[in-house]
Amino acid sequence: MANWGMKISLPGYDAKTATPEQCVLHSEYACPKIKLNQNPPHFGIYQYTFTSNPGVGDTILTTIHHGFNYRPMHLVCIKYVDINSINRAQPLPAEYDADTLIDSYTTASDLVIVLSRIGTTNNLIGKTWTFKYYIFVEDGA
Amino acid sequence: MANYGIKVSLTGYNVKTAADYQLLFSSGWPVLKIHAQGSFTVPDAGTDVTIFQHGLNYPPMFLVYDTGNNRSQLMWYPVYMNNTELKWYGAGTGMSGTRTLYYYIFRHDMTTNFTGTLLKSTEGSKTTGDQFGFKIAKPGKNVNSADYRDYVIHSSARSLQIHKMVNFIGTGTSWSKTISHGLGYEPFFLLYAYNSLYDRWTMCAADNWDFDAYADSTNVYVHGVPPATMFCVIFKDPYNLQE
Repeated sequence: MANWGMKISLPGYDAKTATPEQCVLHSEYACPKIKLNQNPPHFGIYQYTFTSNPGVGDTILTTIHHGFNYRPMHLVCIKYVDINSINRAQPLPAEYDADTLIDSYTTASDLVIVLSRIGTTNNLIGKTWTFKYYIFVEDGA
Repeated sequence: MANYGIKVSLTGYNVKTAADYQLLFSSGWPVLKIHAQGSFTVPDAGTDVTIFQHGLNYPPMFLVYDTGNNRSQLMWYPVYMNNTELKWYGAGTGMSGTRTLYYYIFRHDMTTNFTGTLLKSTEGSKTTGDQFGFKIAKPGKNVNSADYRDYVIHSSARSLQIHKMVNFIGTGTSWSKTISHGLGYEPFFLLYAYNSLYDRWTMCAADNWDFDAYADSTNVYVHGVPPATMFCVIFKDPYNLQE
């Protein structure tokens, strides 16, 4: 740390000697930030229920405008029941089955959640997937 | 938190009534801290190459994005972490050409454990009126900047607060691990796995069918097929939380 700055140590550690790992907050190490009061919000959930079985190719499930003029860092997590009836919650990309990849990306204007299929072995009609998304202010590219 | 400490609520929330996840931070648990971030071009995707030497002497949490096609897309393969470096393992993948990546390395050791305190799990209502705030600019940046990337932390932007970090070993084949979190809501979490044969950590995503996990209001449940050392980070962030 330079001659100025701020650090707050975790309980049980002396702030004067604590390493960055032992700190709650350390002004030399920024944290990923999600802006509040954005429209549309920069964090939240999005639920998608299939009313038809997506065909081969890309199907955009949703697009969320972020308003940055750059590609920001993001995280999208999907919650679903997989083809083996196992509950799963994991960050995207996720593979629903050997034919079906669910992914997300940011462009300079949007966060996009997309489904890519190379086959249609499993019918997705009636399946509901819940996505949790974060759009950070930090650069993603 | 003991009888001393500091906590700061997000803009619009009374710090006395705010739930933990409505705080900007508290001295009872850490926020996610960025050690390094940057862009790297893999010159030949079919060969191994070091992306970043972090010098931390432990395997830190990380995220990597593929930035091709004017996009930024989280990727987990073939990027791996160990005690010294973040590396692209392209040999044998059949990949070719260049790849441009953007990486984040966090100041959090995936071999350690941590459990934060629980201050308040019931939601405080949003207030109107005076909107006080708290912000720290990065070294060399202006504290009046309108670009939030210039800040270490800012009370008009949520930060990811870590509730629990758990390093554990799944033994045998088809093992299960239950991690209690006590938050009272289903939290957001991330999972990483360690391959001791190759000394490398990977994020559990995509077609990584060897591992699966989910959470409820009490526990995070992890299941794996091969024996492995795992790392789970649970955030003070309700899965269903939305603005």
